[in-house]
Amino acid sequence: MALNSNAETSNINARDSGQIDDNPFHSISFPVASRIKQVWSVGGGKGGIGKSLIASSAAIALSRMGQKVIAIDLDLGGANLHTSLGVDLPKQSLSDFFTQRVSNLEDCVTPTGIPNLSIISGAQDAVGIANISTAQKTRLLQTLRELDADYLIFDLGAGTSHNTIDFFLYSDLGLIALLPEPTSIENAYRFIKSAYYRRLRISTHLAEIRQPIEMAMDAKNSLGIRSPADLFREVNKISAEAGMRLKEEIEKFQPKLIVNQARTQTDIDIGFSVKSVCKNYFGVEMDYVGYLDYDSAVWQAVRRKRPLMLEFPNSRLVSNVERIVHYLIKRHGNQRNDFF
Amino acid sequence: MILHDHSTYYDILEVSPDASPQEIRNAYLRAKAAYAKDSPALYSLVTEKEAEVKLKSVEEAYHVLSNPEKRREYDRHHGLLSADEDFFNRNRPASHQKIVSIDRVPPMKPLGTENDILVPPTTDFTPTHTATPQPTQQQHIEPMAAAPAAAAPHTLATPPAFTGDRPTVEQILAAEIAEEKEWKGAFLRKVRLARNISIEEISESTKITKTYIAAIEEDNFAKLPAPVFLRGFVTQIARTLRLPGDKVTPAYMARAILSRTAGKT
Repeated sequence: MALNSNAETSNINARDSGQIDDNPFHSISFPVASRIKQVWSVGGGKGGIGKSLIASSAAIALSRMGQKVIAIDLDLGGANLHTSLGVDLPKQSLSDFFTQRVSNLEDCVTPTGIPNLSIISGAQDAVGIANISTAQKTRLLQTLRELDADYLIFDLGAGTSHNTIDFFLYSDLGLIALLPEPTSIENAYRFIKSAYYRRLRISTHLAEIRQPIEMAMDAKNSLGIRSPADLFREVNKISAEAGMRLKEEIEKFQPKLIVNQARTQTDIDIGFSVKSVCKNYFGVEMDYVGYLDYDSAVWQAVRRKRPLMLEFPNSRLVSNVERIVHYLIKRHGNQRNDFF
Repeated sequence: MILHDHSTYYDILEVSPDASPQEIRNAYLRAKAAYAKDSPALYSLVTEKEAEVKLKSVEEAYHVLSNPEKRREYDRHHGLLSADEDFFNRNRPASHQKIVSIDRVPPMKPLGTENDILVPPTTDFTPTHTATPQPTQQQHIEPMAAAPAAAAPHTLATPPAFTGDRPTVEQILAAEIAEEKEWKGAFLRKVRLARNISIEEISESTKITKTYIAAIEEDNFAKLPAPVFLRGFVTQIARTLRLPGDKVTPAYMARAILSRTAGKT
């Protein structure tokens, strides 16, 4: 099972093949000496739900607390985190790293002008760069934790491609952004579902029950596994021990939820409902870490190509962000990915 | 929930077995909102039928857990030790000993190992936490808290602040209740609203008509029945609001009777 270097087909192959030849996690190792305290990622499935805004604002908030932060734009092919942070497109970007024009990821780190905050820009300058191969992804993931920073913040792309999901799973804290509207909720569920099943599928502890897991990923499977509850029941039929291990793995998956553009108390409450529904449907404990008020200042900041945090430092939204960041550090500051 | 074969009523409401009545109520309202017919959170994941089944179990759970006697009975039946267990865990010496409740161990199984600390059954446990101020509040529950108990009052312009170390509505309310002497209708109403209980709900559980409940809250004595009936009403309302009936009823009745005699002369 050679690593597929053909960028165009790697995703398609990965989905169809029964082998886990696209698992970037079992070939990477944790660096011996890593300064990094935590890697955060911001995802959510849908476009335009404020992923870049949340990622850039959280990065600024952390940097203001004296932490050395690198914000990394992993929206490959649609990168604009640099714009959210008010910097021009940096000279070196991830595409230089992927094409090996630069050998060291450290060379892609560009200062933003904001103290303690740097950026690694996403790849814009090579068409087709959105489809990186597993080998390229593995190389990136292997190097990330060697960067000289306290926190890495990933801004993920829309959609649920394997690359996006893997970056999400690689992070220590996965934040899911959600707008209080059906389209966003639908995509958030799809995103959670994709990450959930992929995590179970590539878990080394669950190798022996990979088959029912893969069946569950296909809604029209022959075993009639329609939901995680069905999967859990099926696996328990195989063996109670496998069921226990599945339960353990499921409980390790703890994404965090942020509701964005909340206009009313009902909007805020949707976060609680989504949390409750996820607990029931997936068996997943998802902490609802906060909401961001709808704020008309955002578009003004975006048009001026200035970070909201700096443009409107006294706005409600900025205090929302700071509050969430403080909470995440206080409550989940020790959460670590155990994939390695 | 999907990961348990047998989920308890506490699991269904997503609260811990030592949750306060207010926490249980908040959890109930949240679960009801999440699975309501028009809840946006169900979209694309949960069918209408599944939501109905879930709502039914939520109602069933709340029916039992909201009633102190039924809840105690349920706890005992399920070997749940609630607050006492917490106490023992906190004071546990750092050792390999386990706390084994005799209550919990099926008769045929050995009672832990020799080193374990055996605690007596807590069948006569009466919840004491109704009196302790719980950091909860009415409708506006903030996210962040893993347990809803740590929620802080909802203000839109709060600066970054951590939940849990500020007085909350329920704490303030508990202090006011402790100080209250007059027990006017308006105060009963205030407590009812703060605890997020509707007139309809009181009417349903006490079988007192809504008109009378409203009149009691308005101190509209002319609209209320003879003292012998009114006394029963006030006692029941006080119980539903988790207020000390032995204080509420005499104070309220004294005013009712006074106004009646004043009206006659």
